[in-house]
Amino acid sequence: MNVSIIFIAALLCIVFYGLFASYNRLIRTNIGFLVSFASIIIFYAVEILSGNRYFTSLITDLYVVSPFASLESFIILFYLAVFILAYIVTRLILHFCCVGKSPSYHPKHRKYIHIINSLGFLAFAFGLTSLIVPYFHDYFNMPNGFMESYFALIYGWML
Amino acid sequence: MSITIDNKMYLDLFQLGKDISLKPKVFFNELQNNKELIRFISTCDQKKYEEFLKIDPNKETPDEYLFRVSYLFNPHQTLKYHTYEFADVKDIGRVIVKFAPKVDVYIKDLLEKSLLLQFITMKEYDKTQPEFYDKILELTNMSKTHPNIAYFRLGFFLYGTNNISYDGKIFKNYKDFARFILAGTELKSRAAEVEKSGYLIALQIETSKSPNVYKRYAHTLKIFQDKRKRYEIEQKHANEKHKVKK
Amino acid sequence: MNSEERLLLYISYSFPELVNEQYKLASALKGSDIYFYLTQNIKKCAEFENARSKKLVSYYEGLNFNVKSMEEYVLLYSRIYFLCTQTHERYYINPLAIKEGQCSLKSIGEILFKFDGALVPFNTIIDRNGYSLAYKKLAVKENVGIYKSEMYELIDEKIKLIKDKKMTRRRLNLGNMLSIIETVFILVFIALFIFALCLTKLRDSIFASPFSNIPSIMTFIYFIAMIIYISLYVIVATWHNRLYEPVFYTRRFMLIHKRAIYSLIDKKCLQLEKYLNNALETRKHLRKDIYLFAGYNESVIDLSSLNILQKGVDNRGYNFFSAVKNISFGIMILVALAYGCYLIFLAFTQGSLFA
Repeated sequence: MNVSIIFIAALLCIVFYGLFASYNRLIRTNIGFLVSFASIIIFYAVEILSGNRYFTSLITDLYVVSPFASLESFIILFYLAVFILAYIVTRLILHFCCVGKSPSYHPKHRKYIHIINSLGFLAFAFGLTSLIVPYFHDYFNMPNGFMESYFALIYGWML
Repeated sequence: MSITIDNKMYLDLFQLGKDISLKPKVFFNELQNNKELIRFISTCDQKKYEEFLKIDPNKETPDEYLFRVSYLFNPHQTLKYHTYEFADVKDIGRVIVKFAPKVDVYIKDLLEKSLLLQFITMKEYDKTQPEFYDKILELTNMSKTHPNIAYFRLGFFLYGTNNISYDGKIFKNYKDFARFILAGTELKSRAAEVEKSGYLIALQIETSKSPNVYKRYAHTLKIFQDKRKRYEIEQKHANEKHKVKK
Repeated sequence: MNSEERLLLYISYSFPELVNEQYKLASALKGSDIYFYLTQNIKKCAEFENARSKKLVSYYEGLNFNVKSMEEYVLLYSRIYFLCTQTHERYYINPLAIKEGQCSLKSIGEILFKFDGALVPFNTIIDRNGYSLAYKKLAVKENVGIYKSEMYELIDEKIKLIKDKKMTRRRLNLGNMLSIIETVFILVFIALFIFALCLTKLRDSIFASPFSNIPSIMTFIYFIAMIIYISLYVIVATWHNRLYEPVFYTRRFMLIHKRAIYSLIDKKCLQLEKYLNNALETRKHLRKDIYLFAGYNESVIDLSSLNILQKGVDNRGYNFFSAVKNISFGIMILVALAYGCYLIFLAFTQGSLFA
């Protein structure tokens, strides 16, 4: 048992969502993913460009007896919070504005958009799993397995 | 004054009237072409002669014409029509039932052309037996629309509905006859014939003494036929459209 | 109907006890051409979201072949003929309630209109002489009014259905319970796995390599079962949402935008009336315009999707997967129990699970 196996298994479960979810649901999820990824990138960009790395040092210097008092855990929590927020907001917007196209309306161009959507979702899912699962390695001291170099790459970028 | 027709000598119109309906072919010809006979009629009774001239042979069938003429000449004779002679009106019933399901065209005409009604009016049945008269009136009216049913109804009315015969077999009553028709292969082989003759319907009406069942039957059948007709029209339309498409 | 049947009918009025053919005849009716034709028509008819076609279908379903007398048999027979006529498309089609490509008619001119006490195709009305234009226009108004009221009836019926079903959905039933229980249990399964993997002293033996020792074998089996179950759960849950999405959408639309639907129908009715009047005035036959006034179409709202609320999901793949998922949920609980018992057993034999 190692992190690579868990990574593959978790990815498998999430991939099924991308294959079976409907058009509208995928759009909502993708918007959530996009917003949260964008906010992380903005966060990093602000940190790097400002030069003093204020937030990063604040988090890493925090002395809190908690498993999440590290940069990785902060990133994951931040990511998930933004994702859930974006998802709920898009859902609410779509709930009250039902003027539009019915989900049972399937013209041909919509099919292609759906395929592109699904592929986008898969890419996002891969990114999310890459973010969360390697955390097991750090916190639980689990062996990395055959995907060690990939995880090292992600961590190298993050820290 | 006398006249000889078909080797028989007649002295007055009464005698002549008695034979007219019994020898229809001979008299129809003579009445039209024999001027001596016309002269004989005019000398015998001027009033009847004028009446006679009013009857137009071209408007009616020969038998009808002869019937009217004969009762003009002799209103007191028994019922006679196209060689038939009935001592009593009820005898008609016996003849009708005896030969069922064959329909006697002449007796049917008698009813259909209101001649029987005319006869019983002449005999003043409407005063002596009003019920009988009403019944004949009803049947005469019915014969305009349903000649066969009216014909057999007349037969059963006059003869009665018990011990009736059908195709040479004797049946006790309507139920007995219905059982016979429903049994085994009879239904298949005789259905069309029974239906066409109207025998069964007439028997039922006369047995129950009311036409309610027949009315209900006709109503049900009408519903069915209306629906089917409508469907056939629609089907025809659909087929035509289909053809155009092809 | 042949003369035998007519005769049987007549005799049955006087002696119902003598005639027993009606059962045989009625069951023979089911094998007849006309009945076959009717079933074909009804199948087509049921596809339409239309007040009249719905009535026809319910009438068809109410046909009683268990006839007690010859008269009932004849009436049944005539009913079949009647339905067969009425289930031709031009009798029941409502030009406001059809979907693109659904109907074999080409033009509104082929639809039967009530005119002067009879049903007449609209194109024939255009040609008919001896009627004033005003009278024809009145007939058009009347017929469009019928279409409109039918549409209102349909929408009202759907809204009523939605409201009824919404109430039942909020109540706790077996399906809802199961989905809640499953969500809770998935969290429990994952927690148990993480607990065993990371917090106990089994960690080193599990990490060694898969299937090298008993704790590793047990954990690995538990892990595989969990992944299979979660995958199935995700498949069924997302598929369910995908199938029900048009329903949810339609439901929301009808509850929030009810008035928009009514005004849309009103607008379409006015347009239709204007269009027909124009055809009457110019005396031109209508051609290829059957879909011109489809009052709502799939792109805005799909009423037929609500059928799922009444009949349930009719999708073989989904039903199969959901059955498999339910079975695997049971198995998963057993596996989790076995694994938990194993952990407790270890705790007892080795004193403590924690290092």
